[in-house]
Amino acid sequence: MSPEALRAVDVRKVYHGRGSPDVEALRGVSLALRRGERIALLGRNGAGKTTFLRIASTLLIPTSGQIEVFGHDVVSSPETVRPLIAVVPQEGKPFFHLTPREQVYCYLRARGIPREDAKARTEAALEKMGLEEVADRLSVTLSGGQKQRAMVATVMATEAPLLFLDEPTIGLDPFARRAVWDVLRDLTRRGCTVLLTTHYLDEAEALSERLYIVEEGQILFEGTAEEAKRQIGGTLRISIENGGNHRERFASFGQSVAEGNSLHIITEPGRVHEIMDVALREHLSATVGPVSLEEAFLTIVGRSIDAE
Amino acid sequence: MAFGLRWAGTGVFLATEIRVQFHEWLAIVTGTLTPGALLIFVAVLAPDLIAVTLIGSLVYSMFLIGQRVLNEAAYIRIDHKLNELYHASPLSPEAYFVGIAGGMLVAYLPPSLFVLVILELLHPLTLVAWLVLASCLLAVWAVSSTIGYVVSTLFKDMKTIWPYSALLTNVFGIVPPVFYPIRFVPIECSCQRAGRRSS
Repeated sequence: MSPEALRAVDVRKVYHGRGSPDVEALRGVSLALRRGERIALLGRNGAGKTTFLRIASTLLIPTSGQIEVFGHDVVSSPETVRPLIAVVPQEGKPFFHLTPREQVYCYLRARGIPREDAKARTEAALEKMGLEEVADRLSVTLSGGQKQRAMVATVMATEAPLLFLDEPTIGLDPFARRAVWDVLRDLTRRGCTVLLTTHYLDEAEALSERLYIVEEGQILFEGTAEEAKRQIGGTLRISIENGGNHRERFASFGQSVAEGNSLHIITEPGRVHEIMDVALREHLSATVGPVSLEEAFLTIVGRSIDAE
Repeated sequence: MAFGLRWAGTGVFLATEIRVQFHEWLAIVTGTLTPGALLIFVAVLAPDLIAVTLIGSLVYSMFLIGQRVLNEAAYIRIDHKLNELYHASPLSPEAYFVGIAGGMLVAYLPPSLFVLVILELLHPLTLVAWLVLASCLLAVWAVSSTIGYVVSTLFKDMKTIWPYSALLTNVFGIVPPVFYPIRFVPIECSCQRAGRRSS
């Protein structure tokens, strides 16, 4: 049995438009997920994340390249792959005229899970996602966040060995997001593998063991969140209030970004003292904090845009 | 074995769809309005055609059930994205289609059964006629559902689909001799004219 849950090699996808130019959504994506890992795919809108997820989950055929799920090719053996995966589609909604309890249970039964097991898993998933109180209300009457939780509960209850989640926490409040994170962590502890896309970079950082940054159908970065931060020239950010007019004064200390009146300098811990000295001499107030994944993301993707 | 695998889950998905449809009971009731209105017109204007119209009403209703597959499949795919949930699962595409089409049939059948009872009361049919009628109605449902499902996959927007649904229903359900006898179609005249021209 393959040690990898998913292996993608040089995957390309071109959408042929009717009367419009072709769109190259993926340009040779290669990546691998080990069993039990939680991996995040990050990228701007239209970067190719959803296309990749759709190919990996047997919903789309790639133009070229290969994806294997637990050693089975997703194109030539989709029937073998499908029992091993489950997908939370982007902007998916439950059947409006089913209750969350019916939605989860019916889906599990349609996947061939025996009645008693399906009942137990349904109750457990509803409880974990905090849906017990609305479990018997038609989904059409639920809030947007509750509907999304019902979708996530539906897929989590499958306990499929490989879960694809396309922006699973969109529209959820911070408590519900953390409930989803807890369930995902629990699932990976029990051996499931998770590949998710998200625009919440704090979520990617908190949840994923490794991440891939995708831009224009190509992988720009692969590694941990910490490694992504180190890519941008420092692990600390010094924000200098009203420092926008003194940019050249701080130019030698590292990469600097002006934002409004403030100046942010990305630097290493060893240089903090010098920068603070300069700021004090100029009568500027400064704060020190860790570099965020968002800054790393913007820098890595920004470099790629600048290079074009 | 392979056959069993392809159809596994059909019953459950069918039950899911039936459950969904019965929650929308008003749609089931309003679905009877067009054939019901046409039946009333014919009963008033040409009562001698009522038997044909009753059968026409059944054919139309069966076609309409198939066209509801178009709307339902498109709604599930475009609005809810639930097709992705099911297609990336062990449920086969065949089971998915049969689940939707069968769910529509079961949910929307009761009004047609009512028409069948009226037909039997007004013009009792022989057993053979019943079998022929049932076979024809099933064939209409199967063909219409297939057309509906295929058309539902061609568009990316619900608003684009609505006119096609109306077009198909009228082209196949109203214009041809569904609610009126085929003898009103001037096929013979056309054939004779064509024959004269060729000779």
